[in-house]
Amino acid sequence: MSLPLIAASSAVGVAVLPVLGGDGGAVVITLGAGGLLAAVVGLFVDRQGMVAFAGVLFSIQLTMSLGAAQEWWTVGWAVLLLVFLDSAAGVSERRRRLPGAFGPQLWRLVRLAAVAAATAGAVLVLAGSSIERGLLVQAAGLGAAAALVLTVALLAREAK
Amino acid sequence: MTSSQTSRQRLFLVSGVLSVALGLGTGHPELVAVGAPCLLLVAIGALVETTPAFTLDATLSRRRALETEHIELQLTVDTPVPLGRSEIMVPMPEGLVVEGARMDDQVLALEADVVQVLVPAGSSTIRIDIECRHWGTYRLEAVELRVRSFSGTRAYTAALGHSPGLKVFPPVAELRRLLEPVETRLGFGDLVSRARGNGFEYADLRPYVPGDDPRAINWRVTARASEPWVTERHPERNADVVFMIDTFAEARRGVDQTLDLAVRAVTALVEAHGRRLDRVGLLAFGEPVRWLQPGMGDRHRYRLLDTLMESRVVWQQYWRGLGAVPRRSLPANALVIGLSPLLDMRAIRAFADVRGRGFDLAILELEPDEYLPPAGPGTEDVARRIWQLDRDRIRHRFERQGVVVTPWARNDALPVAITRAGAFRRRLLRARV
Repeated sequence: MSLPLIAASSAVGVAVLPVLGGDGGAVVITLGAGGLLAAVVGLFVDRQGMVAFAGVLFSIQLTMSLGAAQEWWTVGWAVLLLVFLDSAAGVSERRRRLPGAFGPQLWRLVRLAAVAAATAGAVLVLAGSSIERGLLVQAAGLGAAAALVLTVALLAREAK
Repeated sequence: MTSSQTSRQRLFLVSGVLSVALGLGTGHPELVAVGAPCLLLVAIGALVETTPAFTLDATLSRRRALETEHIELQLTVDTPVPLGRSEIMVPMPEGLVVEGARMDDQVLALEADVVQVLVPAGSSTIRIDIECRHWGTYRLEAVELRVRSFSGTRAYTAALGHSPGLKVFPPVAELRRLLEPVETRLGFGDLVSRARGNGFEYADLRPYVPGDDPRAINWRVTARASEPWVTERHPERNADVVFMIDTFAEARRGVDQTLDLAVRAVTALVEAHGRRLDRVGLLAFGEPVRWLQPGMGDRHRYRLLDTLMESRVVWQQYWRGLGAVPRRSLPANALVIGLSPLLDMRAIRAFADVRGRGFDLAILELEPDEYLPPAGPGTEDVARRIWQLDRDRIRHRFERQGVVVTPWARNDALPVAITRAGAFRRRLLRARV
């Protein structure tokens, strides 16, 4: 299965899953269609910015589709999003002949999907457990902030 | 070895931070769950994955090869840890083609100059089969080994410490006939000189005069004439042959070019004149001018071929004329063989200058017609005919100066062109006398 096909299929999955699993209103459908369009255009014209923009639209679409109850289909959505982002980056790298872009990618994507499913599932299990919700939110916020600071520091170090 | 980030790091980070921020803002743990895998991969790439220390070295099975021959590029990878799935980039310059790769009798996948290989810990040797398709001087400097981390956020690249060089020569056409120079040198060779002296070839008979070598007395004629007669002979001598290659302009279609013809012809002629014990020299004129004064022996021939393989047509307006060429590179009495498509006026003037200085000159015209697209009807056809007439005028002007211009087309055999040039020269020299 070729990498552009994997990227396009996962983008379709990411756009469709909130419509099927969540509260599929007109706004959700529109956001999904917009995200899918941006993803396909980004893949064809080799623009990483468009792919990132598609990711943003998909995230807003997911937010709009979520209800009050815990939605387990979001584990699948997390897996599809990661596969979409990784394979879209792979398509771009292949065009530019960047390292790691050649050869079969399916097995690596399967392993990444397994990691994503395990992580997303673990977070949802934790959220559904009896741990105080405020504590979980604080931990998630700290983790996100730490990742952001770390990456910015790494980017600055490599830019020197 | 260099380490770099991939575009995944930014994509994962943007997506992860956005999802977690949306999750925190709206109070949906599902969004945090969606962002968590992306952030986890970024964190693994930054904290867990260490830069592997691996090196790449390369050697070539041979430094010199002929066209159509295969050579082997041996790449040695040293790594303390298994690298897993890696890529070896083997982008070849135009003229070399990668035909296959293997490691320990295992055939490796090859896709668009990229060899995919699983590199184990320790020292591994990867053998890359390269076909030499076109003559030239090459340096394999873009070869590198590349590995991407599991998270996909980092890539590691090792380039070659030193890039091996390769010289590819065209195959040598066998020539039985060569152009004979008007004048010879004093050195011993296979050419029968016009002068008279010690040699094998019979020249004439004449009466003995005091001082003649008694061994030259022809006893049969002496017996009949009742006075001593001696046999005169032509000595065997060699000659200086200088090849003048025009690197000002060329006609080209795809990878085929008129310079190819020049290089193939000179390679064959150098070999044949070397067998005849002639001294051979090279003068590739353009900018810069490259020259090699005439010499003999295998070492000199290799030097000449090495210089020849570096010939390239570089478009330049500047030309200092033949004054820039050292005198030693054009010895007196040398036979100068020019190889040119006769497209650039500077080359044509240089040939006229050589002839004007009294050198024995023959021009092998590398016909550019076959490299040109067919002329369209109307003005294009008229323009092509005018151009052909102008080229005829140039040829006739050279012939009036006693210079043979022999056309040589891409599909013609070189021996035929040389034989034709030899016949024209003999006719022209007779006419001049």
